[in-house]
Amino acid sequence: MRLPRTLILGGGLFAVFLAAALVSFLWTPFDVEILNIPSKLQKPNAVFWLGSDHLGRDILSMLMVGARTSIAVAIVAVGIGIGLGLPLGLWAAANHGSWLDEVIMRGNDLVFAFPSLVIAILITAVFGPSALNAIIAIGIFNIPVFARISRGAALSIWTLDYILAARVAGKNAVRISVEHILPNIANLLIVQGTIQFSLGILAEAALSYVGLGAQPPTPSWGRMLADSQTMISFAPHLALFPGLAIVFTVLGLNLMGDGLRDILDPKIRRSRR
Amino acid sequence: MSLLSVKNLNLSIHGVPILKGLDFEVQPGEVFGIVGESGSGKSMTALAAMGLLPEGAVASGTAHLEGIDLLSTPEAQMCGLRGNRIAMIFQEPMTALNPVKTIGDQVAETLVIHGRASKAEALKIAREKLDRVGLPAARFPLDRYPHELSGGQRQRVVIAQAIALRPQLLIADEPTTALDVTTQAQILKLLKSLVNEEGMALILITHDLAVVSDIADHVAVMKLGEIVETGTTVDIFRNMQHPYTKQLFAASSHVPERVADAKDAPILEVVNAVRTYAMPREKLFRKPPRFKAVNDVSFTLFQGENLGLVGESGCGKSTLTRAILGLDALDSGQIRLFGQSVTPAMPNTLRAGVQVVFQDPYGSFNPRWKVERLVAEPFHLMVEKPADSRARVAEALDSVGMKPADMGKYIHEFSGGQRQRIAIARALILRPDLIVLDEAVSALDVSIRAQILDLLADLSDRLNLSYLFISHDLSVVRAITDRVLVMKAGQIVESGDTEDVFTNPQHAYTRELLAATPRLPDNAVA
Repeated sequence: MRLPRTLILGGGLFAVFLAAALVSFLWTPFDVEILNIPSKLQKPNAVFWLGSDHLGRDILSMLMVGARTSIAVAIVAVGIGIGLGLPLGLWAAANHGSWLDEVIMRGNDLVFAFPSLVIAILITAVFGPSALNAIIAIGIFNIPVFARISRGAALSIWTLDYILAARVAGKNAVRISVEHILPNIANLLIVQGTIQFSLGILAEAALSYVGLGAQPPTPSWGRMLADSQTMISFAPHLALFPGLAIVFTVLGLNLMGDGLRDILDPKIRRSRR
Repeated sequence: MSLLSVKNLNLSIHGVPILKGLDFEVQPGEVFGIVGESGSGKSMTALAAMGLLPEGAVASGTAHLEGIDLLSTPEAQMCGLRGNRIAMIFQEPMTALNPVKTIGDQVAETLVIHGRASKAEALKIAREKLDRVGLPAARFPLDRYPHELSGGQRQRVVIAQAIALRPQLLIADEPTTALDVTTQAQILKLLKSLVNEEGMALILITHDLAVVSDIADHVAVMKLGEIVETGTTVDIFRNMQHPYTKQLFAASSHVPERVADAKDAPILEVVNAVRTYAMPREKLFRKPPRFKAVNDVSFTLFQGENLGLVGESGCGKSTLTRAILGLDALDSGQIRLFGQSVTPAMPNTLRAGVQVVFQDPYGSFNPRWKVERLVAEPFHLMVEKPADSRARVAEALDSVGMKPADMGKYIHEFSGGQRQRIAIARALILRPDLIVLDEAVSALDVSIRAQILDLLADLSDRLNLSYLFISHDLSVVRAITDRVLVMKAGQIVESGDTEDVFTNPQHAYTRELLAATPRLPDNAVA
């Protein structure tokens, strides 16, 4: 099977950042926690490939470690979303039309009704800024996304004859959800997962931009942007590189989501032919 | 001069030949029937004439509509012809109409698009056409939406749409396949009268020989992209030449051989069963009214008996089936299987005594499971999965004429008929006493249907099975059942030995059903 071009491009972009994050565990060009004032604010050169900031830290090293933070936050946030949203969605679908379905879905609507970033700021402001609280704040808003999408997809599968056949075989709703529904909606979840992943990275950057994400000295892309703000007139590279990192990761993930949908969604696959 | 003249039409899609050298002519004002099974290319023939071929299709040859070659006409001019001089009626009235537009707008649309009328005039003509197809203004104002209409009424709207500009040629692709028999009879009558009174020609594409024999003037029988036999309907049915035509004819009226050996031991007893559904609330704080889907139904099914349950869509047969399978509870009354009460909470051992085969061979299986796991699914009802599960799956597959090697395949690798065999294997695996066949052969081609009926008859004799055979197709029910129940609006209006009911129906509804069923000519010779 030929892979769609969007998947190759998007996957490639994301792989670069993932690799950077993984490599940063073993090696970075410089140690990001050591300040080196004499070599501050250098333009990109042979020693500091992407230049250095006002405290003399190497931008490339900070980006690599920052990628680690971004990806970790996004993975856990998507994990929370799937881990809680998917069972809720399946549960609602299995009890379609009952009060339980209503409670779950109206609860979802309630969460959806709040502007997610504002609430995330509230949560981190109340419980103190940290990477962990950022993860929880972003993760909570992923729950209704996955609950809705899994309920919708599950409902259309519940009407099929093989579900009736499974019920005739004495299987209960939990078993049917796990054995029959889940494998048939997995493709949707994977696609939505990549999209939410990119949104998670954006949200993490936004939170750390306002100082509510990962705390210093841990580098993060959002705070690198915030720090560079006052120096943008004489050191534009400080803002440029973290900005590009965010743009390309999010772009990569979105392209990857599109490409995955092309492969995994049989309806679209047929119409493309 | 003929209206449509197709000469040496060849068609291939992505290099795969679909149609091979078709020649036929349609005269003005006649009904031309194209009969064939799935994959015979009958729908592609229609799409080729409409210029609506799918991507990757390459057609050669000619198809002249009064001097215009439809195959070489560019798309821009085809748009002027479609709906104007040729129109098409599709199989599925549920999806052929746009759900968010009113029926008046949809019929008027054709007129406006072709610039034949202003919006106001078009709506006036739409009104006339809807009256013409039997949807009077009093009950069906133009601002109705498709979801407010039944399947047969929707199909009438589709027909009104097709005849809005009085095309010379109407192509109907399986126009009644999705409809009930009584509705089918009405739609066929309407089509026939349109041809007679408006002078249109009609190409009727169908899999049903009986429908064609009823209304077509000429018939072409297609097989694997070729016309194997063509002629006037009378000639063809009197004197079939091609072996395939004979085979189709034999399969259409096939009666499997079997021994009726019902014992006097009841397996399933349904006593005064009632099942209601809540209807939409009329007032906010008043209890919603309830609709009686199954209204006081009682019957008994004996061991070894094949019992038919006949009724049209909405008569409550599906609701009753679900109650018998122990999936839904009854509001009142009782269902007893081997004397034990059937409820959604019944024990697995009792549940194992009744299995089911559904209509749709495509929706009956989880596409991500292999056949072995699919067929073995009912083992869930046993306390523990038997150690010889694999051997028993192989045995079940063998008994329905499939190979044990098929266990390792996914369901999409099988045809509709094969899938239905696998569905029967799944129903057989626990060796139940009763199998509910819910329209189990309705979606199959006639020749495949004949094979499955033979298989069912053979299994019932060999394994001493009882069947509850639920169907809207009277000829099939007549072929395979000993006793039949006729259901209408939640009630059983007639019951008795199959032959008695069919030859001497007592209830008006049964007579109506029998009269509506298309029949092959009695004097036909295979």
